[in-house]
Amino acid sequence: MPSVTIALPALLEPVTGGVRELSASGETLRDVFGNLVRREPRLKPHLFDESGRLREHVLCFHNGVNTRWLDGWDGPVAEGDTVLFMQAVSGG
Amino acid sequence: MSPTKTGVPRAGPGAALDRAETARYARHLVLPEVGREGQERLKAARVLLVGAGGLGSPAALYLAAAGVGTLGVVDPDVVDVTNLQRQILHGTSDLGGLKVASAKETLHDVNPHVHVEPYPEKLTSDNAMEIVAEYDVVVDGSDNFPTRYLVNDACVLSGRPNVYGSVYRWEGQLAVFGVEGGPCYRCLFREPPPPGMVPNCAEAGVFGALPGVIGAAQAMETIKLLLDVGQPVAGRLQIFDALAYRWREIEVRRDPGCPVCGDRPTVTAPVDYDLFCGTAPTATPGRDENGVAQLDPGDLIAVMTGNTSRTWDPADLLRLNLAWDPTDYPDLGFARPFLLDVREPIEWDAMNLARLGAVLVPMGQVPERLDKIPRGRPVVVYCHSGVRSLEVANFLAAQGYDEVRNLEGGIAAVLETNPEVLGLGE
Repeated sequence: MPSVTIALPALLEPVTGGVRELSASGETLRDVFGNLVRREPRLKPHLFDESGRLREHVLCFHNGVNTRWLDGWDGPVAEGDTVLFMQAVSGG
Repeated sequence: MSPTKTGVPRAGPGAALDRAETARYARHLVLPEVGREGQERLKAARVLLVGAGGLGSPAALYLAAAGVGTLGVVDPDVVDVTNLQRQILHGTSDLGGLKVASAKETLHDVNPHVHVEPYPEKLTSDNAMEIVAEYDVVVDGSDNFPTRYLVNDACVLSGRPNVYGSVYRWEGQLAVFGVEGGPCYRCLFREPPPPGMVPNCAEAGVFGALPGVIGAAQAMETIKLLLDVGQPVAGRLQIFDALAYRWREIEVRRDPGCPVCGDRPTVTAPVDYDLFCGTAPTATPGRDENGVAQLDPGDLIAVMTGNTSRTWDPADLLRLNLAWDPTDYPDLGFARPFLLDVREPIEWDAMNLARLGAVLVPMGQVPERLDKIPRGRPVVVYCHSGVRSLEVANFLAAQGYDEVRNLEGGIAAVLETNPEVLGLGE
């Protein structure tokens, strides 16, 4: 099963105990997300809402492509793909 | 004035440089991309800075030094000692004074040829359109989500570019929104995070030199827009990780469904951004619009200890009785609330309310640790002064907790009134 590198925003460092980059495997993005939150369940409410959708203030990029522009999360992923999460911050 | 390719008004006549200015801007004048014409364009330009804080400070300093003719500075705040670690417009002698006053003084010293227009007020839905219309470009250095959405909407509605920056701990973001009909902030972030989910700089900290990098980049992007040179950071967002020293870039596309800049806009005038962001201020004394009530520290001690010698508001007690488990204090008919401390562990170590049964769940961990916060029992949330905890209380109320209270004034108020209940040094 392909393994994907996942980068998290600094904001979520306290949630993962300081880890900013981890990997999760899956055949599709949906699998990868599922395996990610099974492995780090504390991430789930920060990234996804109660219905499992990405929160509106969170962005996810699969190989640089915003997942909101994709036709769902059921497309295949390949070994070595990157997933970047980032989110809105307001500090000034 | 004729528009540039980015829609920024081009300076007209009347901006000729005098001898002193020609000497001052010599290093610009030799740059082919600036030259005399470009420098005169800067002199005729008007830039609005929203916020004279961490981002606004370096941005304003570089814009003033570069000779941007008019700088508007909007900020209602006074200089606090905690600002000085990064807000380099202000100094120790400015403590307690209006930020716009020290900004004006500092910028005048940097470049007396620049006119500074101070606005010692908050940018609001009522004044934003009028103020923004006076300027060519807006630099967003605000420190909260409601203002960021307001700046975005006012810029889109006024056709002004929004040079956006934001910072958090060691991470910064930079983008130019609203040029050439391009994407706006709402195309990127349709909605703000739920209240309490993303801490601000006061709660989470910010590395002092980080806004120096991002704010200076905002100034650079602003000057490029005014000169109409190079490629603005439009249609993309730059993310800077200071710890790793790494810049990432992500593509940002205009969203045809965007409520402000989309094909069928539904936001055609500034809205109520506190309502939009769920940060509406207290509607009636002691209670905010989400129904989260404030709890007086004296009442907290009464309910946590069972000592009701304090005079209760009968209506308040009745309300508590509705949801409280009467088993803890059978004589009194109500239960001990779950007392939730949302500060950081280092703050907890210094002093806490463990004697009253408090449990620590730092604010940033609340969303994924809801299982630690019981339902069917009242929850009283506290932090140092009552600000962070109000956000968490709102968040919990939004999550369906039906009896949530915010400890008014936080643990600082308890320290003031009942220091004996604090576990100082424990």
